[in-house]
Amino acid sequence: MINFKKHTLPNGLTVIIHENHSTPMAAMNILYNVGARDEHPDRTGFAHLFEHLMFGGSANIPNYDKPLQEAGGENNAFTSNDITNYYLTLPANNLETAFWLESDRMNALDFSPKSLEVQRNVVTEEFNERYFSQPYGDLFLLLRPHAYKVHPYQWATIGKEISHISGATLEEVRVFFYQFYLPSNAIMCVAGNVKEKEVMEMSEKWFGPIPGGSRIQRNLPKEPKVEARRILEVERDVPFDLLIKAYHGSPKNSPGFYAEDLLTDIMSEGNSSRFYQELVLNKELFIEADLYLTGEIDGGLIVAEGKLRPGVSFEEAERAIDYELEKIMTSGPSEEELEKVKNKVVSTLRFSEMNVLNNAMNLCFSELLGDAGWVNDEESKYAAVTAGKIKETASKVFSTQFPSVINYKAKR
Amino acid sequence: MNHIAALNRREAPPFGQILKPPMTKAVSAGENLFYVKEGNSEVARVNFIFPAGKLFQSIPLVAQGVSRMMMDGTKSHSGKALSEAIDFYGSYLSFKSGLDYGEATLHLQSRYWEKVFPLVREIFQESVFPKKEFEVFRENGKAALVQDLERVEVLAGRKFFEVLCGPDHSYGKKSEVGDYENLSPEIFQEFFSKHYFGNFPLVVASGWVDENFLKGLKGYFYGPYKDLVPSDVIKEFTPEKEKFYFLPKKGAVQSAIRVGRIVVKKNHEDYPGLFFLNTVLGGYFGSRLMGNIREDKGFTYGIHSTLQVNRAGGILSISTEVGSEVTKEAVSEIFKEIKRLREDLIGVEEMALVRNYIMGNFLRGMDGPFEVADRFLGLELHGLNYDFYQRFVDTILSISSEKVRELAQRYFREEEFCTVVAGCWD
Repeated sequence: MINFKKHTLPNGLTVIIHENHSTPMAAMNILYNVGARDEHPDRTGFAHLFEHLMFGGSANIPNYDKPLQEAGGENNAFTSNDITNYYLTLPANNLETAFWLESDRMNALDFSPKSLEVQRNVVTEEFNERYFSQPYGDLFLLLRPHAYKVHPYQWATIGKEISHISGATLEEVRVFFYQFYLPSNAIMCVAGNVKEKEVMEMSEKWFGPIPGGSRIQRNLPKEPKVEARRILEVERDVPFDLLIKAYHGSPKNSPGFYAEDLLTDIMSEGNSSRFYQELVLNKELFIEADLYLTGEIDGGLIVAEGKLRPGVSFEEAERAIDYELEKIMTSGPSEEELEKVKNKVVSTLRFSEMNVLNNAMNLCFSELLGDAGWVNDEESKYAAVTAGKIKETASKVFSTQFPSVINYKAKR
Repeated sequence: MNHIAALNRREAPPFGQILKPPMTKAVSAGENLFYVKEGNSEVARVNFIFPAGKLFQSIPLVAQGVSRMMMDGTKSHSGKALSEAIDFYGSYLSFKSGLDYGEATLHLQSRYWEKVFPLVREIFQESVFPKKEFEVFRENGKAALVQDLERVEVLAGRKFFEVLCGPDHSYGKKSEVGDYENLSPEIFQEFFSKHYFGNFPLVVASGWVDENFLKGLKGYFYGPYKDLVPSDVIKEFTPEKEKFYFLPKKGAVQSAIRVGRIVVKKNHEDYPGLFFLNTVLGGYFGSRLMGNIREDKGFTYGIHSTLQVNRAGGILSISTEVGSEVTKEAVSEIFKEIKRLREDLIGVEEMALVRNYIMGNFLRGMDGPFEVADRFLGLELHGLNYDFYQRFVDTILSISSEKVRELAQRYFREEEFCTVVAGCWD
């Protein structure tokens, strides 16, 4: 049970407080309701570039990291297709330092050419390191536009191509900031060895004066159903063939999501899972095989992914996966399998809630979905999924739509 | 009348230093059993540490292979049955092996200990290495290694350890795909018998360790505790003479760079000071290396330096992946930063910043049962006690810039560093 209190400032900033006095630390998590899905198709990678720029200095504070480190703090950030999330922890008695830093960069950045130049280069290196230097690194750069034809999820957070980032101008940066980085478009959680009263006082002092706006309203195009099988074949300098079969999943906040999550666990979580036992161990067709979901808010992908053993054809591999999908659609999971994955979910949730920063992040994310209190409903939502529901979900996912397939071939 | 003072965003709010961090300790339950009872969630973690790392193998890949196969079957249960039983109770059991130790880590809801502990003990005592699973391990292992050998950071890392520790030292000896042919279930069984079955592990439980849980641990895992790494197992490093190695990789978009040298072990009196120096050089986001090579030049997504300490010795290692066209320049800048620290005193502000940063991390590192257990392992596995942390904190709080420079003069001599580059070198 994660206890919390919630307030909203006049400028629209949501402030959530989660007190935990068994730790000497405080955590501050600020979620901005902007992600890759909000980008213009000709200017992708922007939300992520922006995450970097937020560390390039704000109007009154030339360096974000130094003052935080001086106060014994540690921080990081990440961007997804849905959100940009900033988080830090520091000794609780230095909490005001966090307020000073975060409020200044929410208020106004120091939009400088040097900062833009450096971060452009860093992001370019990141593009290279993650996507072009690793085997199979460009997989999601290929999968997204293949599986999504209409929705902005069709491009990855890093961007469609490097040129979108290298061509970004300061003016575009400024416009983006004042459109998305508003208190009304942000959710903040302060957690740990803190008190509600002091948090609200500091919030009003540091964040209160920032001009508000409105929460952004999205009107993103809905991805149409996949009406025919799609296949993409590529050849890369990798050691093994890789097969991808992607289906569309339910939106994050829908009842179907929980069944889909448990479905993927039953199929491939741990050594006792169906994929491992059948595809890897018994049939020896795959070196590794996985069924996972990407979990985006508007509806992510459910992906079957496997590295083929040398000598195994794509056809044979895909048939074997289909066989497993057929089985679960026809008979559903056993009661033991279902209880097993539910027990695992409970364990994961219990471990997660021991971490103050995790709690802060989850509170912000649940609030974004509609209500911070939903963090405490997770366990019951998973518990409510029946074997019948899993069977029904499997049919819905795997037989009422067609897959987007990639044959990612190893260059011989 | 309410007077609200104008908000001065230019001025940093006052902040405090961490002068007396808590030194939360693990509690001994006798012999090989220790625990940290803390937290409100009814879950626990148990670490089991065996003398079963690379240090103990005579053939490459054995320590790692045995560790990988520990869930593949016992005399009484098939791998599938083991996994099903452990998974059913929502538990996670994983095995890994490193340079010195073989480790098993169990995460579980505390109330299920009665169901899970017997299976875990069975794995430690009765593991067999079935032929079919062995073949799968071998095929998958070869596949993974082939894939890894395409990556510049793997190539550089392997070479780096080989040249610093020595090609025949268990830390430095590289494993090749062909080595998989020298393995067999019998060889694995022998290693298992000697290093897992034949030893009581160090057991550290953390989290919801209530009376019943502790009783369970005692009943299943308690045993006489002897030093996990006897001194006759530890061999000196035999570094190579050459100081520069280049491993070309055609078409590499990035080069991996490793620069470093042999340094002290954790029990050495210079270790805390060296830790401070290393932090300045490349141990945090605001370090000299990050400031230069990432922030100023944009050559890389990340550059770090680490003090890696193990039972046979310690290594200072600077590592990064940079755009191939700037490889030479990046190496040159790395040595510039090393030289600066050797010649110039670190300024007052930077000293204070690094001090507070390290102390902040120390505080974080004592926060919560799993962190406290990790800190205990960080002592026990190096033959140290809690005096070490006190000495560490005292050094960090009091070390002078003169002393830091002295350490740089001793340990940061260019001619003693080794450089490995995998990728491009124009």
